[in-house]
Amino acid sequence: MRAMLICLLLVPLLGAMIGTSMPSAKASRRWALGVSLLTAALAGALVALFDFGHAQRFQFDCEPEMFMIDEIGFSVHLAIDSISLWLIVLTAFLTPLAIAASWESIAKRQTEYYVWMLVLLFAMLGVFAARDLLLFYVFFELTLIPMFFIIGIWGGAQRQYAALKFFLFTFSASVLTFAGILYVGMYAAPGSQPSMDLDTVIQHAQYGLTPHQQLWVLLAMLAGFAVKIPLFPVHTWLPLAHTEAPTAGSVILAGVLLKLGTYGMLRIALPIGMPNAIVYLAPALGVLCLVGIIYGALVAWVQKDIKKLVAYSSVSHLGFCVLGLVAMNVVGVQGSVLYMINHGLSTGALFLVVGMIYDRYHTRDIDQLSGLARRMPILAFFLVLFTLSSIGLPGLNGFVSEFLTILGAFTSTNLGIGFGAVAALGIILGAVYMLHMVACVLFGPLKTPMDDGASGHGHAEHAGDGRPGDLGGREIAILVPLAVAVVLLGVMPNIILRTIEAPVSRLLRPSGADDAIIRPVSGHAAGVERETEFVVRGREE
Amino acid sequence: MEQLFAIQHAYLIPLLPLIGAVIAGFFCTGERKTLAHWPIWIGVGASAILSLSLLYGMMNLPHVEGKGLSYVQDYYSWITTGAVRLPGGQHTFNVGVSYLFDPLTAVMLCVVTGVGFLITVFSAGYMKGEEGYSRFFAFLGLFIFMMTNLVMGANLVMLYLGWEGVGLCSYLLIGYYYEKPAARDAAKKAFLVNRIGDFGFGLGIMLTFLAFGTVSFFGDTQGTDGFLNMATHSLNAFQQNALKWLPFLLMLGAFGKSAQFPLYVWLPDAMEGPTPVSALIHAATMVTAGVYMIARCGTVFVGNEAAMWTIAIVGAFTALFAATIALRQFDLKKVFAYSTISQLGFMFVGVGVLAPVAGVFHLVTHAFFKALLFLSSGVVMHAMAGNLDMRKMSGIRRVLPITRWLMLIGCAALAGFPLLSGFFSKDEIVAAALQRSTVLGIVMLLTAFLTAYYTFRLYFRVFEGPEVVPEEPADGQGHGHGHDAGHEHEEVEHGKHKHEPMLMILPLVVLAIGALVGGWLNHDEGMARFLGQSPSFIASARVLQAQHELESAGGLELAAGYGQHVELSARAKETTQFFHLRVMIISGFIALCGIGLAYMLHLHNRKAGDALVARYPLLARLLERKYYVDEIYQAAIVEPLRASGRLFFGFDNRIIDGVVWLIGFIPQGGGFTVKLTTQRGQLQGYALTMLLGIVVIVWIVLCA
Repeated sequence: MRAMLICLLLVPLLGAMIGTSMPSAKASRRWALGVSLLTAALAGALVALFDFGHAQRFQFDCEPEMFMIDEIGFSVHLAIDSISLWLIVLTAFLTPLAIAASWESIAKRQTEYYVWMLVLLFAMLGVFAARDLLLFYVFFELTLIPMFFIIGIWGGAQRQYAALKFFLFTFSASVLTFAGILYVGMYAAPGSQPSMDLDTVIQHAQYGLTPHQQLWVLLAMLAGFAVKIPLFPVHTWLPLAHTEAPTAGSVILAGVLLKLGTYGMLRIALPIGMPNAIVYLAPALGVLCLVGIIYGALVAWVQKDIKKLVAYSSVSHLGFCVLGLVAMNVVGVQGSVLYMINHGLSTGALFLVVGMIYDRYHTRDIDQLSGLARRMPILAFFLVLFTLSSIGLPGLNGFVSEFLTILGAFTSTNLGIGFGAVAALGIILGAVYMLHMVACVLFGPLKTPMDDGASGHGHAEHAGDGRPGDLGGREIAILVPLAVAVVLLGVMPNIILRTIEAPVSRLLRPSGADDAIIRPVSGHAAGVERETEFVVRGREE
Repeated sequence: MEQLFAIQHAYLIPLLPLIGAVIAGFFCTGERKTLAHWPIWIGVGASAILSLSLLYGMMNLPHVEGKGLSYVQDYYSWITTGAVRLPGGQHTFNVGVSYLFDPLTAVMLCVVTGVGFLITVFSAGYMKGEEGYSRFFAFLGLFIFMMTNLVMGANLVMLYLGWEGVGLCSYLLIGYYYEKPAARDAAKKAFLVNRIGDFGFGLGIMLTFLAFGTVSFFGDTQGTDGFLNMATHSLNAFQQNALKWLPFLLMLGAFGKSAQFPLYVWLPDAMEGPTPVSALIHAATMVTAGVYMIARCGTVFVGNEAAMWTIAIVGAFTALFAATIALRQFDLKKVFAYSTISQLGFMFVGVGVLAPVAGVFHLVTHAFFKALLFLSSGVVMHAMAGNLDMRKMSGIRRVLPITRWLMLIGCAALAGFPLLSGFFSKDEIVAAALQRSTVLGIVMLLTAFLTAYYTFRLYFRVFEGPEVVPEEPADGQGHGHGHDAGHEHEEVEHGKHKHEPMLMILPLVVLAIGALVGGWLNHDEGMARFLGQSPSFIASARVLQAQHELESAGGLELAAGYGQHVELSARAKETTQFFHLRVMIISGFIALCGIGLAYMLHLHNRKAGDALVARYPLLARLLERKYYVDEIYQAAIVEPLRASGRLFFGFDNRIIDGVVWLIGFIPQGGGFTVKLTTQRGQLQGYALTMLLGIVVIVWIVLCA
């Protein structure tokens, strides 16, 4: 039981090491798929063995003594609660699909590519399993390296510039996060032993820091997370990175890597900033989210490149996700965690479908493609389904999380009705740009660059006349699991909501009060005061 | 109530059409495509039978005065979150998949599944040979699933699920001929305009939760209370405030879905869909959802005078406005589309003047005669090679002898010809409007006159007079609706023209009977009394009475508009009866005048009609171009938004990156190079930008 998490991390790591010595390109991709499927199976086993009755408790706890460094309080401490569990499941679910999607579209240096994918998988899982702040940071940064190479080597025309921009943007910002981590870990509790243990650090930060110090630590932490998420106005690396990355890179980038930012915010920044600094910053962060929601949607609407459109939609969507977090109430944060998962599924799926279109026509230009539904009805079905999921149609997954994050903001003591109302405008705009894309690409008279009879390309299914045909078996097999997940989480979101309620409530409590009773802690009257204040204000309104 | 068979198996009502849709969509492919109507016929037919048995069972239940008939069935909990602190205490956001059964739901279910079934039968004939035959039927099944959820949902979120779901089906079916740019754009427009309404609806749900801590209408089986009940009790200050805004938010949703001004623009364009879709979704069922919603949530509306007046005025304005546009439309379906908008306006007036029973009654009769009219024009289109332009055809009564009679019945019912269904229901709304305000009543009478006129203008032009049958099929850009291919295919098969196949005519006959005698449904206030047992109407009447007892003694009579039994003195009864008789005579006379005028200008002396138009070219043009509302929206809303998107994109590319570049450059020039850069280029400046940005944010926050 205790070794489960270690196994989960070791499988992709060892897999990557062994993968470097694969005899052929074909063997290496089979190997990578096998390893990622094994990881997914292990993640499934975690779900089966997880004790949902105590979902807020960190389980599969594992802290090998050989890796402890007492001088700085570092240890390789792994454990997960149900929030981490579901994000691990998301990661382990998306990676095999991404690898399968690379099957034919990655043609050069394949062994290397698949090794990097497995390293990426290892790093992402590590972030979600880490209970040590430094370990978290190490994994957090480790994800950059494989992604840097995946974009820089296997990307599109501007891949090197995109990779560099991606790396410098996220790296330089997370240096600030690192500074914050060191500060809070080493100096937060003068006199006591330095510790990087997450719970200890959070307790130090909440009790040992002055509000002023807390604010600065929080800002330093947020800097790195905000770029990763990305929040407006530090989002400009994202559209470029997405456009240039290969399909699988985009899927992982949107599906999981962006969630590292929101996860870090949820797991580290929010608790450290409680109960003063975060409440203080929440309105400012909320405004950035709202700007991001509207701005991202409007910019997405005028894109010519479908992939860039989906990329900008992420800017808009992550605005909802962070809005739910800074609402700082159970509804908002539960919605936000669900949003992380749902966004990973539906945006990941959208990137996959866009990649399948690109594989066939070698263009993503909205002006060059039209009426594809005539040629590819199966692809059209999937694209419409994932679009509907993305625009929050009730019955599909996106609706629940979108609704809950807005409801969280709406009922929040930090934000309030105004924030909810502006965010709800995003419901309209989200439909505007997505349906614009669907209308242009799928509907209307058939138009593709191939219809002048140019010869087909190696890696797409072909219809009899040499033109690219509808989705093949492999592609359908990639999309069906996503479609099932999209419907399942739309109909039964409680699978996730119920299980994350306890850990979310725990997160939102000051760390002294660990169990069901909310203990008002003296010296933290500010938070309590604000809430009573709201009630009074609410009545007056 | 739980002993009723239909209630025990109520989950089958939405589920069977859904299963049918899945079978039709995923399994009726290739060779089996032509069988796609079977799963839908069976699914929708079975749920229609269940709905009718539900209605019948409910009508025969002994009713307790003032207690009402309702039953809630919980299936499973859909969305559950932890507790949030609200002004009224800690509450969890809890949404169950639960259905509510009451007379209002039963009536709506019968309309939806009944008309729905007739239209699926018609469609099998109409859509024969179409390439997307199975797709069409799958979407129809999905539509019935969503629409039944809409009318059965026991909380606002279930209503919202159905609401958006029918919007989706509408989108998919308007865009059925997706290769036609007009259909594609109309589909998108319908979805987006509805989304504007849903924005209000969504916020309304949230405000409901914030104020009441629940979104359930009348509570669930666990014994919690619903907000429609709570709104009848004493309210705290926050709730009172919330109720000032809540009706307006919900109303926005209703205006979007039911195509009321200013959100009506999507409905005329929606006629790009196949005609059965126009009949089912855009005339009989989906577009009435707004009326249903306001009737259902009446408790939160009636306490708010401003909101009720807004509904009545918007409804009356829309009714008149759309009727004037219908005067100068030439496409049969466009005329009926504007007529639908206008008739929906009538229903809103009914709801707005505190007579929702009249509104729902008109909803039912309208479903019969408008579905009949649309389907009949479908037959016309089928026979006329896709042509629907009334300038291109005339006197086709001999070509389509049965359709002619069906159309005549439909037109007469719509025009309010005495003793037909539309006459009774429209009359009740007009009477209620007159009681509330004379101006409102006169506007409604004027609209009724225009309705009679434009309806019979269409009938006389198309079916009477000298026979002209268009020879060439309509071109793809006009209103071919992509149907010509299927039509030719059929001609070859039968070897001769068969314009009125039985599969298409039989459902029409049923609808025509409904249009003829539907008015008697409310004979002796039967339907009103039945609907009056809905908890929504009982609670609304209670709120109304509580409010009016404080002001005057008028509250008692107002309850009659909610189907409540009202004891009146013999004298008062006589006055009311006399008033109603007078209104009936006036509105009957007005309908006949409208028909008469149409006869004069469009059959007896068509030249005079044409000359009249020629004398006012500007007005005619204004009406033909629909007051340029689409153009105004495009210029005032769509273009500016798009422009700002472009502006922001430029901002993203030039300004943000430019600033970054600049900031990267300044330190290089300023001697900070050693500290900040280890590589050349501008990228290293990003870190500094971010630092600066954060400093600025902190500064703003600290100083605020």
